[in-house]
Amino acid sequence: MMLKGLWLLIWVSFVHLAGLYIFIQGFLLSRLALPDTTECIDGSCTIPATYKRAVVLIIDGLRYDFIAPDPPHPPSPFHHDILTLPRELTAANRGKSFLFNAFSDPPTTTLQRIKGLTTGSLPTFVDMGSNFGASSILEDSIIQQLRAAGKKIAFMGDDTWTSVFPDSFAPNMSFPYDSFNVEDLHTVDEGVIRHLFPLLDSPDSWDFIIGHFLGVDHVGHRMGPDHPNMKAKLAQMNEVLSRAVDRLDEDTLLVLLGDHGMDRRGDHGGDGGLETSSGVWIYSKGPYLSDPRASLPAHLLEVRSFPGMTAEHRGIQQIDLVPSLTLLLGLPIPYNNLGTVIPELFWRDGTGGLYEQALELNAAQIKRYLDTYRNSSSGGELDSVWDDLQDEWDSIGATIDDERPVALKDFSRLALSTCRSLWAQFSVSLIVLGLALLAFGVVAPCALFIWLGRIKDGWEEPLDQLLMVCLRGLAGGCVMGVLTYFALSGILPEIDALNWSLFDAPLMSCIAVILFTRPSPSSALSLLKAVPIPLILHTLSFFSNSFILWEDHVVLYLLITSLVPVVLTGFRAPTSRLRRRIIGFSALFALCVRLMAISTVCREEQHPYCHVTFFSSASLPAPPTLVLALAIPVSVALPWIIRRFLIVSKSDHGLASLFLPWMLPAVLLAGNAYWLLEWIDSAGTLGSEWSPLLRGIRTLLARSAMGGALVGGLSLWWLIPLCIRIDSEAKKGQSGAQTNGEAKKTQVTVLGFANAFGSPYLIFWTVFLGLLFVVTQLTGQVVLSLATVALLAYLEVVDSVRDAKGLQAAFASAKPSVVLDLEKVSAPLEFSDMVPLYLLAIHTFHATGHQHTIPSIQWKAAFVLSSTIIYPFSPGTVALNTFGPQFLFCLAAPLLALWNFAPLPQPDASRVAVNSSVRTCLAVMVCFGTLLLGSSLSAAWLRRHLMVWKVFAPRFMSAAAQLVAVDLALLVGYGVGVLRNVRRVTEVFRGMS
Amino acid sequence: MPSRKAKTVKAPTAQAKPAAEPAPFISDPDTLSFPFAAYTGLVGIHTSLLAFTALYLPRSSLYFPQSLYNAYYQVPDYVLGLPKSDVAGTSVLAVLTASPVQTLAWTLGGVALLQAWWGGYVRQWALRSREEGSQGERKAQRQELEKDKVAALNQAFVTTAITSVVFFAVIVLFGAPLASHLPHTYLLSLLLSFLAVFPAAYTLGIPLALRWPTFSSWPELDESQSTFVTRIHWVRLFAELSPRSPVERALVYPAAGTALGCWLGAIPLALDWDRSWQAWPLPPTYGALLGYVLGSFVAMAASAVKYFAEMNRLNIRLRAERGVKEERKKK
Repeated sequence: MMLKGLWLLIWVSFVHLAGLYIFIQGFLLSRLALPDTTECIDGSCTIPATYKRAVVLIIDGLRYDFIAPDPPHPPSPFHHDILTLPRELTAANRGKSFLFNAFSDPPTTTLQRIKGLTTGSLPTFVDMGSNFGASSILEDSIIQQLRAAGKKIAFMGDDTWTSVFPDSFAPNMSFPYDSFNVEDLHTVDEGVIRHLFPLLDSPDSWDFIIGHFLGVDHVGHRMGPDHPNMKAKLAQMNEVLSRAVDRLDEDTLLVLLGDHGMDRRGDHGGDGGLETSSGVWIYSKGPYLSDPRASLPAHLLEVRSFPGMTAEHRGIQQIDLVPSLTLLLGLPIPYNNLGTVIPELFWRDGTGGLYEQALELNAAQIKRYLDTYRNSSSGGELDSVWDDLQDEWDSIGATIDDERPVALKDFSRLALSTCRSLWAQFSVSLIVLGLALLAFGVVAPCALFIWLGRIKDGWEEPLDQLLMVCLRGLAGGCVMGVLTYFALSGILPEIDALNWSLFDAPLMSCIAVILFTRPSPSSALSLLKAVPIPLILHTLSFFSNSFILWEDHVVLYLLITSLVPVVLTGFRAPTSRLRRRIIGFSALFALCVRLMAISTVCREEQHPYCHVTFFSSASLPAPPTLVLALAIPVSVALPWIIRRFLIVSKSDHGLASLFLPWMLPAVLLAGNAYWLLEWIDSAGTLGSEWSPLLRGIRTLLARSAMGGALVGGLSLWWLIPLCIRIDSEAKKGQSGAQTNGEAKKTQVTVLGFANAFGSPYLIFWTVFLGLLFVVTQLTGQVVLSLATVALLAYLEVVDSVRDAKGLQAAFASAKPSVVLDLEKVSAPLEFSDMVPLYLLAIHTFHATGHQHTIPSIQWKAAFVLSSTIIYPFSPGTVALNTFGPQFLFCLAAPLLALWNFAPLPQPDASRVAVNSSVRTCLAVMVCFGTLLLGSSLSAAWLRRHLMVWKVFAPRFMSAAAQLVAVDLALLVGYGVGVLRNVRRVTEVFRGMS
Repeated sequence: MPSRKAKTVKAPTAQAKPAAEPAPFISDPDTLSFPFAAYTGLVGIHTSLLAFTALYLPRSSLYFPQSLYNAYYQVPDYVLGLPKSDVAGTSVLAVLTASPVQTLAWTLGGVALLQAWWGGYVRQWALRSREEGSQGERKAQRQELEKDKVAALNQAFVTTAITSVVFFAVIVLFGAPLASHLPHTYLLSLLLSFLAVFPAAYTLGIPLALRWPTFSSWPELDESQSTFVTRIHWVRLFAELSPRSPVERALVYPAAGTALGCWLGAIPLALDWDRSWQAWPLPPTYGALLGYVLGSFVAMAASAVKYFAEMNRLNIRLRAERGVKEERKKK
């Protein structure tokens, strides 16, 4: 009987996932990677080489202002005016040294930038997720062209390169270093330095050197740009550069660049101005690249401004390096390149003849690429813009002399901008299908929620029938999917048979389920009456970027709003005990929630109305002092508080008496200790020689805490099922009985009886609280404790409200005497009871230092269990850190059904408990399904909006991930927690009625 | 869930039926004895004065000499720099938004006076509806109650002050800044208190009272019968939101409108329109005032509908009785 409920939940999750899968295929960008390479044996597609060799040094995260000639005001003492060699040489060597502010296309993550830097193409949004597991580059690139020309490439540094170009580097000159150990500031850089200089001293052994430094980026992630370590790091880079420049010979070109910038906190990944501004320095020790006496026409030189700088600086696209570098080395331009040659590097005489020649090659290559793309299977993407491109291309022919370079440049820039907007190309039909399924994924669980509420007691047989109907719907849908494919493949070629089946199967089963449950008009009306206004408003808010930006405030506002009806019920409650409980616990809930809201990492857009409180300041990712003081006391107090709540229903025995005083504090304190040590380590108070020891202790702490909670906690919970104490006491019978010969009777007292279902589930829940606690930073840990208190307060509120409503209903009914049987008057679960819970989940997400943006992901969590990236644990801990709050508080959903629900009479009580647990799960699924529907609808509707990649799409992705986390939580909560609990309660109480 | 729901829905009709069958001559004496003409006029005056308070009073010193005005108000430079014709258009907003605290303080002053004046009428109507007996007895009762007037007013002001602190806490819970803008938030809560609580406190008395049995002991809740009855009254009006007479409607609807208006007023705060009027706490303030005014009108309309319904019922009844009498005569 109980497993059927699990099947129901699995089916709803399947509908969610299917809808999500189809929608994502249509919405998230994709671009066809063409396998063609530029080949010309006769050398007609390049110009004579200017250099024999090139050294490309990449300083990861080198923002433009780190090397700019006039840093922004006020200059930072930690990262401005330190790496000064580029600007000194540029000032001294006109025509030989150039500084550029290069725009690196978002997403500004290293893997995407390496792809862009070598192929000259644009990244797509989907690539993003593959940053953790880099996949090799199949498109034409500088590296491929170098190899085709038989050049030897040396490489040292970030090992992302060796994973995207697996066998491109000369084996004896390839020195990769692990890139994801953010806590290690020096290993990679020292490795690069160690191998770079011997190579520079023997210039005949190589043709191309790539050196990728990671220290600056790691300092940024770890301590932020305003930290003494940044100064030290940049000074070291400056020193390395000047040594490298000394050893350079005249045939070697030096290119220094940052693959991306970093934001004020030192993170990157998004499309903020600071993240996309990277520095580029090109230095030639030998020949002049542009005639020092010539002045270039201003209209060929693009400029870019940098936040805080008064003057505009010479700006390029980062991918412009690709055609420029290949042509300077006498190689063909890679096939997929969309960059344009940089004028300064080819202006060898007064008129720029060489530049024009390079530009001709460049434009021809771009045109060739566009033509090939047009003829490929994805050529349809270009339909709407093809005429413009063709017109621009044709107009080049009509120009003469001076205008020709401008026309060529305009063409290649137009191609770039068109492609940029194009590869935000959506498949509207898939989007619509996905949205339809997501909508059914809301309606079907709604119908089930109402239906289960209606059939309450005898729900086993109807559920059997329902699952059968559902199964038939799925099977029928699969068949229908194939048929639809054959019928519609002419009209909608982009949807394949699998997608049709994935669409039709859930759709048909949803329709079958909705028809089966037959929501009567009156019940639909009653649902309408109980429409949760906060949920509706929250969903609608996704259609305005302002409300998404301020969602942390919106959620707090809605959360308190959702409490208003509860408080009003509290005032009208019939007994003073209920009044006190409802109002008191509501106040406690509201207070905790408001205190949690103090902690925030602001979104970039909330500036200047928001101050970062999650960290000690916006640019210093360390915990605030208050949190350092509070962390340990809070961890000690939390288990005690949980116990206090259990004492109310006397259910602090059995499992609770073992788990709460011993196990939980140990886990929580280990979580505190881990992050305190992390703070000591990154503040550098102990000196670097302590680092390995601290790291070892931290790893040990985290592993034992998480392992202990998961294995120890869960097995304890599994073995000692209930938080009750059964006292049996021999009692003298009444005098009358004595005479009859029955000498003694046994009186059995069950402590914790009233909360027999709820208390062990709470213990089950705290195991997951412990897991999340360990991967959450200190401020987040305090917030989680507050959220736990809020949850417990809310459980009491709901319990009392249901009692109060039950009493009122009983008074109003024909038989007020029902009141005398106090156990039974509790009102049934309502949908609106779930709303504060789901809001609390999202509120906790915000308050634990998250926002719905990619840069706010706390990468530090990847290193909780190990000092390097280990699959699947590192991505797992980051996911737990990010979506753990939603997981945790939705895992608590069945508690609303089980809390203070008495286990007698059996087996009815167990049956009702299971029924209402399934309903709580369905209700939470409806809440998060609605949010996902709203956010996906807004992202799809506003897909051409200026803010789509900054605001709407990240919000959608967050909603998608959080729905998956929530579905998982509910399946675990119901499938493991509820089922085990109810079984044990049924066993224990079977005999007592 | 459905079974219980059905019961609650049925219950009121079941109660209403026996009430309707024997039908007293006048089912709602409060409605019919209520001075409607005066009420309608006063609502009109009260709401227009409130509108004046909200929109004109904060820039009342426009009528003072310009220099004095500038010294006080720190009008943004761009307003002074504008040509005269533009000033006419922008000045209302610019002046109202130049300093939210001053705007709020002025509004608050006006609202406090208006509510005291309006509350006096509501109280009178409420007291009259409670009077019993002959003309003379009524007069005596009225004089007796008039004596309490100052004490009641005093009590109402104290209640307003106390609830303003509660409102302050509630507004902060909703997300108002904790570390800044404290005067802004407090003025808003005081304003809400004057709008929503003051008339009720003046008319109904206070629902909670503390007693100090001896000077050194802890205060304890006054559980006397009169406060208990008042408390029940407050709960019925403001937690169950079920007013029964025109006076009660005139108290509850504007209060609910105030709360709702203030709540809705918070919504535009988040928008990125960069308008001066989005400054905290102006939108909730004006939302609350607007909600109060609309609530007053709704209360008036609801009571009027009720009134006409009663009149109609009375007519039918009279006609029916006349018919019965005539039939008897015929017999």
